[in-house]
Amino acid sequence: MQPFEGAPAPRVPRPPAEPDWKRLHIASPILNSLAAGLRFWPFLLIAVLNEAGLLLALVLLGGLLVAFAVEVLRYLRFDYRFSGTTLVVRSGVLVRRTQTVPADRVQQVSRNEKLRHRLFGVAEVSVEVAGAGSEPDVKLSVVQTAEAERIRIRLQDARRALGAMPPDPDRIVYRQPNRSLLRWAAFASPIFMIPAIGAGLGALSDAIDLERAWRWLPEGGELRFLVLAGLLGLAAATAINVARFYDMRLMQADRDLRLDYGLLTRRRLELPAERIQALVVKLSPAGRLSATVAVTVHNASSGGEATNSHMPAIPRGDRRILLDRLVPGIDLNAKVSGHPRAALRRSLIRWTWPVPIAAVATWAGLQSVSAGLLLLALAPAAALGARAWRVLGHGETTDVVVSRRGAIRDHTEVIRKARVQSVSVAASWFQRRKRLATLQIHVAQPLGRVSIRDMDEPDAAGLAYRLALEGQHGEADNADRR
Amino acid sequence: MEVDTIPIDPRVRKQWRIEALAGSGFTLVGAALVLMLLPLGWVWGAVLATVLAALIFGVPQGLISVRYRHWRYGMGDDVLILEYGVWTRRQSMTPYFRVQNVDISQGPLERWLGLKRLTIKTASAFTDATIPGLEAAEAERLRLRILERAGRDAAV
Repeated sequence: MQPFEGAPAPRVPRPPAEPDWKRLHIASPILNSLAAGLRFWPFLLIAVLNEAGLLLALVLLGGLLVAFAVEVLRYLRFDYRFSGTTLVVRSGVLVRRTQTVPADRVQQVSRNEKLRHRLFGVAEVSVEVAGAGSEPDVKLSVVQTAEAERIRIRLQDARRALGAMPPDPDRIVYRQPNRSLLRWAAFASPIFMIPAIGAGLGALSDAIDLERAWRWLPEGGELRFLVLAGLLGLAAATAINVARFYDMRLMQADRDLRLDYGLLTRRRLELPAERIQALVVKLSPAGRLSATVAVTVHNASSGGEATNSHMPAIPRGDRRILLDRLVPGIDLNAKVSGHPRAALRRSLIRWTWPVPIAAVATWAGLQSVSAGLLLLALAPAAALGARAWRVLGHGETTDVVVSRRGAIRDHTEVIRKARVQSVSVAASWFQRRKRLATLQIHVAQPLGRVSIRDMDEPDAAGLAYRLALEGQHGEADNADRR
Repeated sequence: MEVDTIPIDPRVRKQWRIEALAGSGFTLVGAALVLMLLPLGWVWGAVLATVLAALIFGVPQGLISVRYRHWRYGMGDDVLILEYGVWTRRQSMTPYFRVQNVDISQGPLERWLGLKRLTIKTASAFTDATIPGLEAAEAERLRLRILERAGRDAAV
């Protein structure tokens, strides 16, 4: 039927207008070139302390100006926008690059607010999808804090629109106690900082005019200087660790987890819960002294951001609660069983074999007394080997596999069966004689793989088959089966 | 789960022999340079050089048939299974639904022998699924079968 003449044209709904391309914050070139310049602070220190440092200071200033010019060009050539459920980013000064990130493929969104960012009210946003590169897939450095929040909400809305998650209000599910953080930092920092301070002073002693620096110190000679430097270093290292992980809060926003922490640099990390591959719990010597464990959440992010999803000072009593809240609805109650006695001999050999070899090498150098003393190390090495065997174990539930290992630093790795990519069972000639085997579980980077060493051979084969076959059943199916 | 495994193409032994010969040649040159630096007489030098040459060439060549005997692969309903290794025996299992891509490659030696190598990639860089020494048509057939079985769901 033809519409009669003079009738108004039928109204066709117009598609929503594509949003405009957005630029980064105007302060980006200043902040980014400043960040590049700050990497050269040791040279700046040398330039200040050394009388002949004027030339070096001028070179640094020139470098800073070049970095600023490059950052201005980058700023002018960088823009982004949302197109439907996809984030599109155009960048590159000489080579133009257009990146498209579909919201449902996002593994992690992180927001960094360093002190210099907070002064300008801006933040750095990194969006990661699965891959093995060393850089985040998309980095918006920097945008206004409110815009960073809008990007996060926009990605969340887009994921919801794609059916990746149901709506749910935000709530804090766990808070790392600052008291346990202080305890951990006090024990963890000094051990690693003492050699670092020594190396730093050694490296700088030639470059710094010590006589000039000396005038600022109280009487008492070099010893007082070293003690003072050591104490200041230890205090600084403790303070750095506390500031880095201060007020760590794990929040749940829809089905995403959000980790918020930091005193000077405030970090906010979005972890889509369904993308979590594995949880790793570490008990280090510093953790033993401070009664804390470290928990790291691994997803398939590409930018090495796993170090940011690290909770270093969880009180040992809270470990269970935290794991349950990180992967709610997943059965983690695995009974971890030890490995066969045949594995003990292998563990002892693995820990002790370097000692006699080192002793023989020392004896060959005509140091028979030192060689004898070296042999005394056999006892502690054997004790560590025995402990490594006692700790060694594995277990499973319908949802996860748990591996436990370590002698000095204990690791417990909890791997979601639904995230296992492939498996392999390897048995060397020595292992075959004792009917032992090593099971390797492969997951996406950055964790990559987990090895369960010296299992009973039939156990290893059985678990490998189950992991290869059961991975395709969703965890929802498992919950039904439970 | 029982999956029948089959051996790879026997022509791969020729490929491995040639590759091992080239590797042994390089090792022998290195060993000869070290021997020349040692304070050995002509007699001891010649004896040691002969023993070393026999070991450097003989051991890899001798191991090739053992290596071939233990190299097997099989396609189950849900997983690809590879079995290989001489000293360390390895059995690797890769579920098809985790497959991100399937690569087929052919070096000059493989082209001459009419063989191809098939590699399966998953989201983990540690996935261990390369089958060497496949007859060219069999490699293509295998690739299609794996892709057919690989699901379209998110594999990560």
